[in-house]
This record gives sequence, C-alpha cells and structure tokens, in this order.
Amino acid sequence: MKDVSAQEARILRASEGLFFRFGFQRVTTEQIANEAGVSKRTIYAFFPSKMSIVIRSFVSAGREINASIAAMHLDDPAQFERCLRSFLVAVANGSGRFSAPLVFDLTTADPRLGARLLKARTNFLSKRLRMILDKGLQHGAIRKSMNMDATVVVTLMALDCLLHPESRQALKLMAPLPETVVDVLLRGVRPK
Amino acid sequence: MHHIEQTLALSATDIELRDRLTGLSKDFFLKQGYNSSTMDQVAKKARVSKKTLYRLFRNKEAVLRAVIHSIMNEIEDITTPLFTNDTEPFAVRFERLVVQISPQFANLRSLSSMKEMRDVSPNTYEEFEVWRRIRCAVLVGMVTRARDRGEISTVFDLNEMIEIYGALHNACMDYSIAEDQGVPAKDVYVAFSDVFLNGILEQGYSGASKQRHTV
Repeated sequence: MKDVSAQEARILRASEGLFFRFGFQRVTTEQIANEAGVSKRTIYAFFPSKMSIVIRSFVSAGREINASIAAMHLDDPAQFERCLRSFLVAVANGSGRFSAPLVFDLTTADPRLGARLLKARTNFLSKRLRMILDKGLQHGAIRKSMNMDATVVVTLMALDCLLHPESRQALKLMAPLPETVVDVLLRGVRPK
Repeated sequence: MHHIEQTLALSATDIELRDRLTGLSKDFFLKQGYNSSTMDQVAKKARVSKKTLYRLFRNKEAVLRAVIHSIMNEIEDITTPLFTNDTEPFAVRFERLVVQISPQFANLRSLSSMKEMRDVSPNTYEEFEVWRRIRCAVLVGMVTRARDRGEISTVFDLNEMIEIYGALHNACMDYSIAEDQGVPAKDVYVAFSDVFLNGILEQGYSGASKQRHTV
C-alpha cells in the first residue's frame, strides 16, 4: 500500500515538473512515464487522463494549504502574525506548481474545465485568506479601515506575481525574498 | 513630439479631426481589439470618408501609434506633476498616482494586449517600452527622494521595493482578476496603495512580533 502511494506521488511530481516547463498539451504520457520511471500502464492505473493528473495536482496543493491552516493557532492573538505569514508563504510555494504555459494550455485545452479549475483555486485561497484576516480583525491585529475584499484580491495577486518562480525569473533585478514581500504586505513601506 | 513630420503638414482643423479620429479608434480598439477593428468602422462612426481617414493616417498601424501616443500623453499629464512636486507628502501623491493612473494602464493592457501590439507594430511596441522605462526611472527618482526625506521606511532595499511596487501594479491593472472576484477595479487600486503604504497589520497590536525581517 505504501509502495503504491509512493508511486502515485512520483507520477504526480514528475507530471507537475513537466507541466510546469512545457504546459499541458505538449506533455505526453510517455514523457511522464519516463520521468517518473514507471510504465504507461501504471500511470493509467492511477490516472484515467492527463487532465485528471492536473486536477489531482490542484487538489493536493489545496490539501497542503488546509493542513498548514489546521496546524495554526488562529485563536491565539499572540500568534496571529506568525499564522498569517506562514499562510502567505505556503500559498506562494504552492502556486509555484502552476506556470503560465500550463495555465494558458488548460484554458485552451478545455476552456470550461480550465476556467473552472483556476476559478476554484482563486476562490479556495480567497476564502481561507479572508477567514484568517477576519480572525485578525477580531484580535485587533488587522487595520479596520481596510476594504477586506479588495485586500484579499491584492494580497493574492502579490503572491502570484511576485513569488511565482516564473515571475522571479522574469524580474531583471534580484527577485525579492518571500519574507520581504510578506513584510511589505504586512507593514507597508511607510515608516512607523 | 511624436508626430512632428505628420502634424507639420496639417492645418489646425486637420489636427482637431485627427485627435477626434484617434479617440474614436481608441474606443474601438478597447472594445473589440485591434485586429477586429477596421478603418471602415472608424470612418463611418466619425462620418468622414475613408479618403480623409487615409489622408490623416497612412494605415491602420499609424492609427494604433496615434492611440498609444495619446494614452502615453494622458499618463504623462497625470504623472509628471505627481512625480515632480516634492512639496506634497509622498503618501498623498502615491495614493493619487495609483488611483488616477491605473485606468489608463488598464487601457493599455487591454489594447494589447502588449503581445498583439508587438506583432502588429514592433516599432510602436519598442517606443512604448523605452517610454515605460523612462517613466519608471522618474518614479524611482520620486521614491528615492521621499526615502531621503524619511517618508519611506529604510528597512527595505530600494530596488526590491520598486520591484514589488512594479509587479503589484502590473497585477492590479489586470481588470479580469478583480472582476472575477466581484471587486470593482477601483477598490483594488485603492487597496493596493493602502496595503503598500500602510500594511495589513494594525500597528502595535498586542501580538505583534517586535522583530522584523531585515534585508
């Protein structure tokens, strides 16, 4: 049993690497099999289609986020900042799996499903960030004057565009560290 | 400055007409994209003959150039006073900058999309890129001076801060993301400058860690 799930994880990891580099459509099951060191048949035993691998990948990224939230002590005001930080970094790390070619391919390969997947991801993350920020409001840790809906949008965009491996590569100067980005988001650039 | 060779030969009425045609074309490009907009549509909408249209613009690409130039001019009109008037506090100017400039940038974005512009008119694209870099340098100047005056925290590395600003601003220009979430674009711009300047956290709340990441 343990062996089986290790195999599945290997296929998932290999596919994620290939999808990230080449997008969805250009990657073949054969390549995935080679990369993962398993037979094509083994792949089909776990995943009926390439799309199902992508879906699983989205789901597992979501599970990791859920696990990181479950491990937080959100009810403790003293730990709030640490919780928020770890959530933001977890999102940044998780979104690293989805590259621009992959996202583009998904929306062309199966426009409805692709759009639904991406939207589901954004909704999933927004809901959780909103929940954490609301906790912060209760603790008095979040500024009350802020527009929460818009702040959620801005924060998630910041993570996607600043901490995504691709955008970090695209930036001509040295890419900012996740900690720096999170610092700017939490503290702002104005001297206190 | 951009269209000296053309304007020299034009009468005052022609220049006026050219501006009007540029404005109409901009609306078409924004609404239906550059490729699906036609010179016919523009002429019809403006109630001028195609001959007149072609007298003022050599071809559709020339119209695109004129549209891009007009957007660049609008952005400059907004940003130059904000960038250079150091008597006003940085935060005030910054907030105004983000809110006023973002719709213009959103226009440029959807025109594009930049990629389309690069294919259709590489020269215009190149010109736009150079212009963008110059404007960015002016912005960096404003930020640097504000930092020297103590209006911006010195905790962050200046270049990193500019990167973060640039990337965030790019993202916020993208209407589609905001619309998907049912948040009006303007709220997103305001929140962007609010978060960037002031941060999400309430300062001095009981659980705030005193330690801060230093660069």
